[in-house]
Amino acid sequence: MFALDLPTENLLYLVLYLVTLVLHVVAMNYVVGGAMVLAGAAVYRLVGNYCDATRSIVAVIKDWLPLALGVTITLGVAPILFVQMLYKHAFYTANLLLFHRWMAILPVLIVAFYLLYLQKSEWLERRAQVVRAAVAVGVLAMFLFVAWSWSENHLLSLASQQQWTEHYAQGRMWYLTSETFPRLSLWMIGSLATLSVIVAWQLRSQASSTTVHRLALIGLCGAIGSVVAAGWYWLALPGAVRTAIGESANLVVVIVGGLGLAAFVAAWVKMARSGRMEARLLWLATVGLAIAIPCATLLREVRRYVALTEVDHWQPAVAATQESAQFGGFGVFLLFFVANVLVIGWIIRRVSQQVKHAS
Amino acid sequence: MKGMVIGGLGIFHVFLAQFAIGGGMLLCYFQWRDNRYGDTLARRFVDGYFRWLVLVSFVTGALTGVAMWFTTIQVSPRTIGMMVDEFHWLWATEWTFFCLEVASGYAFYRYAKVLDGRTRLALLVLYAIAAWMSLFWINGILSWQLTPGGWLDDGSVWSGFFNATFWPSLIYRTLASMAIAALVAAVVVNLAPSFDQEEKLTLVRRVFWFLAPMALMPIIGGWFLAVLPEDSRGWVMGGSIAMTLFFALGAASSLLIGAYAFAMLVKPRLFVNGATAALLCALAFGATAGGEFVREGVRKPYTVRHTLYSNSITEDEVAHFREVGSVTNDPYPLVAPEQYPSDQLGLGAKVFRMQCGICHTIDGANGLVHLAGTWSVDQLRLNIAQLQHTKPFMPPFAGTPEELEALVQLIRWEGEHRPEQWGETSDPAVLEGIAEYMKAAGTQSMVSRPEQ
Repeated sequence: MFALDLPTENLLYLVLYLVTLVLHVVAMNYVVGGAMVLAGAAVYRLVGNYCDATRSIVAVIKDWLPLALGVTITLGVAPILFVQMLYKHAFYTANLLLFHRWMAILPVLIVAFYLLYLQKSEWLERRAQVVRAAVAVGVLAMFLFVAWSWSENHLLSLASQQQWTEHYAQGRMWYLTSETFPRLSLWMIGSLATLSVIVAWQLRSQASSTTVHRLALIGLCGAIGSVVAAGWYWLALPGAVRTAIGESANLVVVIVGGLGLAAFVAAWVKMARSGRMEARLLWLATVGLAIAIPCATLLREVRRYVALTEVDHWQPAVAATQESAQFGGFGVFLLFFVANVLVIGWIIRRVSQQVKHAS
Repeated sequence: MKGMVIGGLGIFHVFLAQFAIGGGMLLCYFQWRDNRYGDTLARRFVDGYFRWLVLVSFVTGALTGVAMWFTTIQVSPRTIGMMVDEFHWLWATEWTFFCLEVASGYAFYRYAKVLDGRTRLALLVLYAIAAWMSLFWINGILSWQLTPGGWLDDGSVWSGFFNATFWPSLIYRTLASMAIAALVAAVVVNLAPSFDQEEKLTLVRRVFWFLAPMALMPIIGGWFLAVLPEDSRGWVMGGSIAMTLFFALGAASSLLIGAYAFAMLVKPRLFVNGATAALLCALAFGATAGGEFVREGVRKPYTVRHTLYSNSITEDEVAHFREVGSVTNDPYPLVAPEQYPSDQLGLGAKVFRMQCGICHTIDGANGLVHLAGTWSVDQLRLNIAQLQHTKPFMPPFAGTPEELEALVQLIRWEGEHRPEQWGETSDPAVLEGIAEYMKAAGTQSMVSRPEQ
């Protein structure tokens, strides 16, 4: 399996990076998938009316999207920290080469964040439908820009020194490769699968059969669409990466992820047929996804690993990470991590009890 | 030039972050009043003010925090890389407090109306602790850059973290946070249509008590100055006019706010209206700007004192680059190299990019042409070769005599408005002279660490 040849210290950072990235991806999927659904629904609303099921799905997403974005950003801090521990040179170079274009994601995200609050405001509800649709589509466009920029930054960080030099010398603002669109499609479409499961849990107690059908449609579009996008991405991947993924240990990851996705699909198909949100099936979809997302994240790392292990500064980077691991503070981190997780757990429990009591 | 961007963004972010920290404390006080005295006005204030806190600090505050990180990468990847290497576990610890801040903050934001008083207070206390703890951790890392202290000897994370400026800086920022939160609260109270005039008077008076600890600022500020390295303190106290002016701006703004707060607290019927509150907030922003400028400025010529210069070159590398050249192994060509009429000017442009570009432009803001364009060619050679003597807050020149001469010619060519023809200077006597200048200046900065 890839990365197992790394020193133990580097493996620890890699595991932390992957775990925190998965958490970030789950929250991000809710934001991106939610923005897609809201934009689609708002545009549809220009020509037709919602059914109650769609209205309830739109309402819950609209209500939770600002929080989801806040959580996404907060959970994104940890993987950015660990990616710097592991791949400093590549990450920093891509940042520097894209400069203004890359930094533009920040004002765009600030505007999008405020638009999410505007989107759930009563003030906007009183405006014309076309205005509401423009806000929803605008938010989606902004998230697409951010997603595009991340993909671009990531792919540029995997490029060779020669490609970096050319990029700089030509003063390019964009970095477009054959991987960009399929990669972006995979993450965008896949986000719908996560969204469907989280919204299903949110609406479980009040879901009508139409709601189940709508959510199943969203989830299945996400799952099947991501398989198609993954196929497209496979064709665009460099030969060395395809070979690496084809190696037995990495192939196991593909198979396990595929099984997770299959479980997810089976659960939603069954729920769609029965029109009921059964807890055990919802759990099956959740577990399936909880297997598929880490597998996809691992495979994403194979692409990076193959690219970076070929460059000159890989070994010095590995050694530098190993050296940094000797610096203190891990115990303090562990202590506060556990303490804060417990406190957050207490908050959720306490607030849930009081909300339940009040209702 | 990029340094100015991070300075501007930093001021904005610090102001918002301190508002969030002080805001948490302020809300705890008002919620406590509600719980203790059944003060419904305090409760209404908490509910109204918290929405502002969320909308400003959770959105713009959080994202400008990320922006600071990305901008620091743009300005000096090597500095942020070193900070990450040294303090990644402490940064990760800070992240756990971000998570707590978001969890407690959003729980309050969504459900405060249906929660009992104790739970509301508990959430606000947790929010305030989390916000303050994020200051605690980042303050240690930032103050390490200025006064790395024992870390220079033992390399220990904790020696670096609990450095000489850690406590005065932490306490000063805590006081500043309380003041900013109170001033923003005065604006919010005045803007809120749901409070009548009498209620506004009561609330503004109460929030103004949060300005009272400002009385400690001169003592804590003095403590901070006292533990600064001597050269840094010298610049603040008149050695660098820009630094002194910004310090004075910060101090004068704080003094004005403090004086107004004092008048407000001793004159019971004095009221702060929205315009005055906004003006006081602007002054607080000015004070923050002055303070942050000074904090960044007194670190010069380093980004990590005695370790890494502001142009991302280490002390050890200066001597090495004087032998082999600073851009000899630079894999990146110039953008549009055809604009330079000679190879020497192209080399000068590369040297500028490597050693000067972080803080300077050629002829724009903080431009070399403006700073050195009137010098004679010999002055240019001498002053750049002995840069750390010319301006003690500048790092030593880290390159070969050929590179220095190329930079000199670039400045002259730019100063002459880029003529199409520009001859190369290759007189061995000139290069020898530059080498002599550099040798005399040495490779250490003027604020080098005394020999142990």
